[in-house]
Amino acid sequence: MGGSQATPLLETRHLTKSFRGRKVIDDLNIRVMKGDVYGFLGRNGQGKTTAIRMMTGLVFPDAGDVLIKGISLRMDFKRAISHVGAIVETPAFHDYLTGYENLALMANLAPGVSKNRIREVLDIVGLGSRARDKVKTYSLGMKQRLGIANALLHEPELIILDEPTNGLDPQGMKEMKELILQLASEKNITFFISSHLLHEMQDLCNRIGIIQNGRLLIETEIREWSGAAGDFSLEKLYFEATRL
Amino acid sequence: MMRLIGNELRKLFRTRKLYVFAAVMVVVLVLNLSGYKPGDPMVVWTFRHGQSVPLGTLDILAQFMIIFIPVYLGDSLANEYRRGTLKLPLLRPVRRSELLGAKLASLFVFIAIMTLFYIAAAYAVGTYYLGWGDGTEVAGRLIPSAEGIRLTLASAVLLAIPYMIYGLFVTAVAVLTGSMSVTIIGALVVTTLVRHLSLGWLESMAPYTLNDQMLSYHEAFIVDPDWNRALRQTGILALYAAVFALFAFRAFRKKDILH
Repeated sequence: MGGSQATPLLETRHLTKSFRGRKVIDDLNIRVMKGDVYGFLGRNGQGKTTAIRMMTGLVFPDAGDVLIKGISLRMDFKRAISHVGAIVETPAFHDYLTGYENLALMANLAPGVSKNRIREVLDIVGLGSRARDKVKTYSLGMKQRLGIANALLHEPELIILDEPTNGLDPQGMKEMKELILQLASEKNITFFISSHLLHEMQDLCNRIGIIQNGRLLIETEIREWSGAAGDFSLEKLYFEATRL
Repeated sequence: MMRLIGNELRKLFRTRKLYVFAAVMVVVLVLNLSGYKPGDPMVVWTFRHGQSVPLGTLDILAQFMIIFIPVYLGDSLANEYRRGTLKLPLLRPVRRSELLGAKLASLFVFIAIMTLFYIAAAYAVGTYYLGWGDGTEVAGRLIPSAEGIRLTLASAVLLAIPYMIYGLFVTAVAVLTGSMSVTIIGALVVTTLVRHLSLGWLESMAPYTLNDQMLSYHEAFIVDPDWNRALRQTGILALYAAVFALFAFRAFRKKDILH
C-alpha cells in the first residue's frame, strides 16, 4: 500500500465549488497514493459526486486544482486523464448498442486498445458471454460491470468509482467487491471509491477520507486505527469524525 | 478527431432516426404530388415534369431540415447529456472542442444524406406522377435534363451551407439548455417567430434572416444569378456562423456536466 513521501497518484488541492451561491465543495485536499484502495465516505448530498466530477474534469472547480500523477487536470487535461478510468454515478451506455459495441466506441478514443483487449476486459468482469447482447437487456449489476470494463480498457493506473454498489442486490455487491479486490491485487490498480455504505468499505479499503458538507473531516490509513486485536470499526470512526 | 467522427457516424447509422426521416420525406412527397395538377392556380408550384420536382420543391426540404436538425442535435447533444452518455468520451483524452467538432461533422453527414435522399426520392416520385419530361424547368425556362440535374445538385450543395449554420444555432441551444424537448421546441418557436415577423412588420429584415437563406440562398448563384446578392447573403451567413459557433463552443467548453 502507498507510502506518504511519494507523489500521490491523485491529489486535490484546495478544491472549491459552489452551485447557485451554495458551497458544495469547500477547500478539499485529498491524497491518494499508488496501490491504495481509498474509500471516500459521506452521507448522500455531502459532495462526493461533485468532487469526483471535478477529479475527472466533468465539472470545473471555482478554485483549486486536481493533479493526477502530478499532472494538473486544468493545465494538461489529456495527459492527466489518460491515467484514469472512471464510473461517475450510474454507468450510462448507448442502450441500442451491444456491450461490445459500446466498448469498441470507447476503445477508439484511447490509443493502442485492441479488439482482443475489449474481449479481455469483458471476460475479466464476467460479461464475455453477454457481450453481443444489447445493453438495454442488461441488469443494473451488468451495467456496473460493463462500466468497470470500460474503465479498465486502456489499462489505467487509477480507477475512480462513484457508489459502485448502489442499487445492487447482496450478491451483486459481493461480486463487485471481489472484483475490485482482485483488480487491486492482481493488476496493481489504485482505486478511489465513493460510498455511503460503511460495512462494504471496511473490508475493501486501506485508506479513507470522510466528507461532510463539502469539507474533508479526516483522511487516514485504516491500520492506524486498528487495535492489536483487529477490532477496528469504520462505523465507529465515521460517527466520531462526523460528530466533531 | 477522425475516430470521434467515426464514433458519431456509427451512432447515426445505428439509430432509427435516419430511416424514419427518410420515410417521412417519401410520404410527404407522395401526398403532395399525388394530387398535384400542373397549372392549378391554387398551387404555388408551376413545374409540369417529374425531373423538375427536386429543384421546384427545395422549399419542402428546408421545412424538413427545420424540424429534423433540432431532433437530431437534441438527441445527439441534449439527450446524451441527460442520459449520461455524453460523459463517456469526456472521460477519455478528448478535448470538448474536439467532441463538439465531431458532432458537427456528423451533422454535416446527416444533412448531406438527407439532402441526397430527398433529391433522389423527389426525382423518383415526381417521375412516377408526372413523367420524366423533356427538360428541367428553371425560372420559367426549359433547360436540358443533364443541365437540370447539375443545377439541382449544385442548389442542394449551396443550401447545405445555411442548413449547417442553422445546425450551429441549434447546437448552441442544445448546449445551453441541456434538454432535448427545449432544444426542439425552442428552435422551432424561434424559427416560426422569425418567419412571422419577417412576413409582417419586419418585412425589410426578411433577406437577412436565416429562414430566408435556407429557402433561397442558392437562387442568387443559380436560378437567377446576381453576384452582389450572392456576396451579401454569404456575408450574412458567415456572420451567423461565427456568432453561433462562438456561442456553442464557448458554452460547451465551460459547461459543468452534471448528468
